[in-house]
Amino acid sequence: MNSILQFSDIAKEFHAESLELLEAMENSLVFIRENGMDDESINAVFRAAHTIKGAAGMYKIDFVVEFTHIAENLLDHIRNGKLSMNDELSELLLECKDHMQGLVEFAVLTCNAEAPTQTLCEMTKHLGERLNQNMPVGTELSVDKLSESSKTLVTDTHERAWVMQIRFGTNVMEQGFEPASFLAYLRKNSTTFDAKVDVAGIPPINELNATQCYLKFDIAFTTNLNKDDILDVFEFIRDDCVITLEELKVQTQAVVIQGSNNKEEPKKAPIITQAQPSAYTIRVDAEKIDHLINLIGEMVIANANVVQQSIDIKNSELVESVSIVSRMLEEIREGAMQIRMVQIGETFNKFKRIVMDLSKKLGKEIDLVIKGGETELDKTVVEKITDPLVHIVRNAIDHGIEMPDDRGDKPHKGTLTLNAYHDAGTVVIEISDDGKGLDEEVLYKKAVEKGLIEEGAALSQQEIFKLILAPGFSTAPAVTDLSGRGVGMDVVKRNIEALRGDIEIKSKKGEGTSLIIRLPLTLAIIDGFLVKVGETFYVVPLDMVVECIEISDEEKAQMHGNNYINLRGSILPLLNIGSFFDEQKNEDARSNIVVVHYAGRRYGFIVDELFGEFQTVIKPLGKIFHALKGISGATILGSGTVALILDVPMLINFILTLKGGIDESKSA
Amino acid sequence: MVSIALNDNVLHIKPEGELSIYQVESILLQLVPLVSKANVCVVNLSSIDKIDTAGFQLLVSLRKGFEMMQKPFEITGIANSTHNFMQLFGFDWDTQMKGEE
Repeated sequence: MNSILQFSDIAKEFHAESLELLEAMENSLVFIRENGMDDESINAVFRAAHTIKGAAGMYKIDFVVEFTHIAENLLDHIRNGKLSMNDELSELLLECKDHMQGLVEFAVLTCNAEAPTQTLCEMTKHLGERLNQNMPVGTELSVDKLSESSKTLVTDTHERAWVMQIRFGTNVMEQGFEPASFLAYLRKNSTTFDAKVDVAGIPPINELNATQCYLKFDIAFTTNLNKDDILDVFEFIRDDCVITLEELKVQTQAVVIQGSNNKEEPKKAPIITQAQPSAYTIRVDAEKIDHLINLIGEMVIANANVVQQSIDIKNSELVESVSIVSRMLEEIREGAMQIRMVQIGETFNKFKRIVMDLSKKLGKEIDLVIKGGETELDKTVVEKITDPLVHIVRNAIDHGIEMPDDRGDKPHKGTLTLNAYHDAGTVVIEISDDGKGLDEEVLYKKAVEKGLIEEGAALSQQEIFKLILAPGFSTAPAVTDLSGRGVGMDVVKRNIEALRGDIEIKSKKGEGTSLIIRLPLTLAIIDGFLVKVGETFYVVPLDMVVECIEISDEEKAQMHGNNYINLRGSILPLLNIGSFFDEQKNEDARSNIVVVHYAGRRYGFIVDELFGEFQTVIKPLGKIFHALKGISGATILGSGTVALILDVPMLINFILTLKGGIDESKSA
Repeated sequence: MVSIALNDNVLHIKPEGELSIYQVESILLQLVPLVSKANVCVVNLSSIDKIDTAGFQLLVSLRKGFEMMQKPFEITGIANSTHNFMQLFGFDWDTQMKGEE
């Protein structure tokens, strides 16, 4: 066993933890930049750097340790008030954060088996020098130690028993070290581990200094680390600690270990299993959760079959038992789905840095306003939406918001707003700017020039706005490194559609533009509303269903073949699902309308039969059905029959194109 | 966060979330003036998610303070996270503290 193998075992965890800390570091630095120096934020930055250094030290990623140590040194001076924070320093620290991320990613990629690349070394040197230039005279640190960085640790394959006595230095905690972390690391690398803390040195409460360490430990453990490796665990605090380490020559379970402070009674070396590390969150591989949710999905389908069988058998006791199981299964499903839900605020926070950097680069002044950061959605959706959002935000900054002098009567400083909220089973993300807005005439002209539309083609305002999402479309007079190449917005559209979402664009010339993205809450299991049309079962996402009404013969007669009815004084645009999907008409069936709401409006779907609520496991349709309109997926009913899940946004778009069904719907 | 209340000479302490070096200093400042006024101390650890060495030392030190005054001290609701931490240190509240007396 060597350090490379050890690191590969925890590389994923180290990577995820480091990225989390680096993100926290960036958020705090951006906060300081926006709101001025703040003790809590600078301490958070310091803690993040310090923890990364500590973790990297434990895994012997020396190039991360060395660079982070220099940055940490500067941070320590700032938090102690020896250096004052300014924009230049916060910018430098943000660059350092980026570089730390680069180093961490390199270490993970190479399993810490290679020396950093020339580019990384040069960047370490460059940033290290800049950090040192800002340090008080005499406190600079060397940045020329990279040559030995890649040496790896070789450990014995032979397991040996050890006893250690360690008295932690009184100042270790003040220096930012946590004694328990060293013990936890040693335990992690040991097959048996038995520590005994000596608390005799802790004074009573009125004499306690909260940041001093008063502890001594006697530790008996077996490990295949060699003596140097064991001592290296304590490398950063060794100068302040008193450590004695002895190897026990005979390694048996009955070996006698004599602690230095307890010489009266020999004791057995206990063989204990490692306790679970103390933690209030558990990091779980996303694949495991996906697998669990898939299994629950299969269970939902199997349960639907059991429900059906119990009804067919007409055994009331069985029906009752099955309904209890169904309820519990629903709770399990909800619980499992909740595991995947994350707040979008974390993603939104990333934009603070992007807005700050880009606005500075372009000489624009922009305020970023974040609303609804607590809105939750599926982690898979969050991951897939981040890149499209970055592109939209960059576009808004580059093309939307004007230079300060060109903003006319508007405030000098532009505003970019990111807002998220739940609406009818979807998550809505709005990206709005108060920039120059879209110019319909320019867009139309450009689209004709590019051959995207024919001269004279009649397009609605929304259709003209959506031209910016067409492949190869760009109105930017010059290509910049930010945007304007005409690639990107079509990819954004494609990515959002792949998530079964859609984009709406609202814009007013001179006042600004809003891109409104609607996404499904989850991609796995939904509550559905089961209906039947002809011989086919369909599912409508339950969150979108407002009510169901039966159409009387009188109402049918009043419709005169129109695609709407008068629903309590409002016009309700309708779509006959049977006609749309060319279903065989069931003359005996009574017509029902399922009223759905979407994007703030109501619409009705005419169906034959209503079956009610149904837990729906979404099964994607195969490639062969790629061109099928109006269906977003399928599910399996208890009887084994396939039910099709209606693509409500697409069907509503279809309603809006029907003669007599267009925007009168606003009044419904 | 921590709730500290002195009711009928009973000092109730209930830390919530983290009990780490970042909280311990301010908790200590709040506790010191109350310790001599209390006849009993009850520490409820049920809402702790995370504890570190500084938090551990505070608890041991608080107990020592009360034992020196020969006043009762009680720890209740040791949550898993705290239990795991004690296990790492090989510390047992009952046996080890009595050994100190």
